[in-house]
Amino acid sequence: MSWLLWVFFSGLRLRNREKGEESRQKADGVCDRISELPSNILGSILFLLPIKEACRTTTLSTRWRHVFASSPVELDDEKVSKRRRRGGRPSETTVNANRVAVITKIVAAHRGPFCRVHLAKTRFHGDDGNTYGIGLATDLFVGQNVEELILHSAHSVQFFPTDSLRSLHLIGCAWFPSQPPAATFTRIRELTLRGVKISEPDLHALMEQCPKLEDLTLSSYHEEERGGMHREQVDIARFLVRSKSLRNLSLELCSLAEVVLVDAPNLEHLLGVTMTHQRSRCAVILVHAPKLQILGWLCTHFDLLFFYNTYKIEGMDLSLPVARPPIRSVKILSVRVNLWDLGDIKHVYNHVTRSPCFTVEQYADFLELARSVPCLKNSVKIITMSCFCGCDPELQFARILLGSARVLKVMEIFGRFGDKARIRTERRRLDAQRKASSSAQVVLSKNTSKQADVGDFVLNSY
Amino acid sequence: MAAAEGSDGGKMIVLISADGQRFELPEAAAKLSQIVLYMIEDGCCYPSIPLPKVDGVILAKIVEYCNKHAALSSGADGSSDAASERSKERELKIFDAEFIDVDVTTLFDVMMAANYLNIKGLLDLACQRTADLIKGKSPEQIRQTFGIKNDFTPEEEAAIRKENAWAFDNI
Repeated sequence: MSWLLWVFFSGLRLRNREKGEESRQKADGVCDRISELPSNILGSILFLLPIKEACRTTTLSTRWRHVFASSPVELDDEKVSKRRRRGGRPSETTVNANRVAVITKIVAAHRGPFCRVHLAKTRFHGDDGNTYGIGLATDLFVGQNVEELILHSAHSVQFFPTDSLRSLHLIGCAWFPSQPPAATFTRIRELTLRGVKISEPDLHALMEQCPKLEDLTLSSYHEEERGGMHREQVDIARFLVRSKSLRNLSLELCSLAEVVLVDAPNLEHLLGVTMTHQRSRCAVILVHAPKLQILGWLCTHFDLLFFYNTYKIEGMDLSLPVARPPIRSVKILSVRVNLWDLGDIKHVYNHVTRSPCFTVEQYADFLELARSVPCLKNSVKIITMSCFCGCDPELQFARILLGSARVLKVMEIFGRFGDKARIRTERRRLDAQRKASSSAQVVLSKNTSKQADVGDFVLNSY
Repeated sequence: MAAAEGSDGGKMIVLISADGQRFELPEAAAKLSQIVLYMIEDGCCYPSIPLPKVDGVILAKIVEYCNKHAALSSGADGSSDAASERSKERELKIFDAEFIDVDVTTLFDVMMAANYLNIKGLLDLACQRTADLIKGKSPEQIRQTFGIKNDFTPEEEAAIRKENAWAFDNI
């Protein structure tokens, strides 16, 4: 028995000695534990690094030599090469042969998945139509588990079947395939087409292929090489929105004459539809959009048809019942008004009487109208005035708004006030003591207009 | 079955480390580990779960992490208003930051254990910490930080640098 005990204890001593040695080794210097980690963990560490730093780890040791090549990466053209033309803006889209060469090299050599591919700021072709480096057909990314793809390409885009694509942004694409493979869009949640030539039937067919689409942006504009906005001819006159999943819709289409929300049970935001130079009227027809909360940046060339019983679509044998009573769910209706035009003002008046909250973009001589709007008295919580110059009629209008809105929380006034003294003077002239709501704050800001979009506005205020 | 009842009435799970230490923690906390979750689902978690690959010192840390996260995860105490959610999130963030501020050896032991036990949140946290330690360092500094031995010949290293010249152009 005692012999057994002795063996046991000596065994214990031995183990303790080993442990002691180990800890001494640790005390001398850090022992290399990181290289013992499995390659997939090292890969996910590299994924968290900027791509350049991740690539530099190839020189650490033989263990690290090939880790980068099979790790997942985020390919972002701005992070690959930061050199840009002198004086250029950081966000500028550039034709940069060096950058194209680097991107081509990475794509050719990398074996791991490309989770996100952002190539919005690089043009892969010159003005003469020559292509630098890869032709950037999207089939380069076949089987690479791309989740986000942002492409700026004047060439046609070849779509590929994928079940990982969640987000797709296409910019300046001259041609959109009329029948992309069905499997491309099955999981897509976010789709942006800027200056992409897509036809009306193709757009409608595309919508049917996207059962999970939540955010859709369609725009005629895209950023040009020299920083200006380029307008592409996109011929979509009528957009019939049928989507069970769509939540946010943003439209900047010059050709648009009609937006019909035929069946959009989850749509919350319809935004960005102002085209200042647009002369033709565009109708927004709300047939079925029970969750619509924000209807924003409409200009008065937009006709809001929510007071017809039925709406007949021209050229189609289809009559739709229009929601009535109209849009009870809308919390914010934002309208850009030419307030010197009485017709416009009456038009807007018709709409604001149907909505509990609204944003006034410019001063108007519709003081009498303002007094009689019931929602102004009882519901308006936020008023924003942009481009305020401080002339008497504007001031009078602001005073009337302050004097009638009883539940007002914030009144923001944006104008060219110059210095603090001027802001103090304007505040005095506003006579803010006579406000109808005791808890209302009046904020004067030196910016001429509010830059944030309507979405931010809502987040800030509710 | 020896299903122990905790003070709050929930089931308790016992984990045994490689060096024989016992750790008792609520089932909700233990379930943060996918491996333990499968064992609980299969009913093979009684009277205890042996974890022969995890040392006691490290398991203590992991139990601390799981307890905190299970206690503060959403809806644990029934209250779900936005303000308390936010304060819980903030508390977790502070906890995580302090929790992972350890020496490199412990960091990798925790990472290996989190990988073995399949605790995704903890593994992500440890990976992020490692990435933060690498960020902004030159290859030589990275080698020093982690004790990596450079086993390339100078020619080999120069060749790799040349091959990936784009990544070295502005250090």
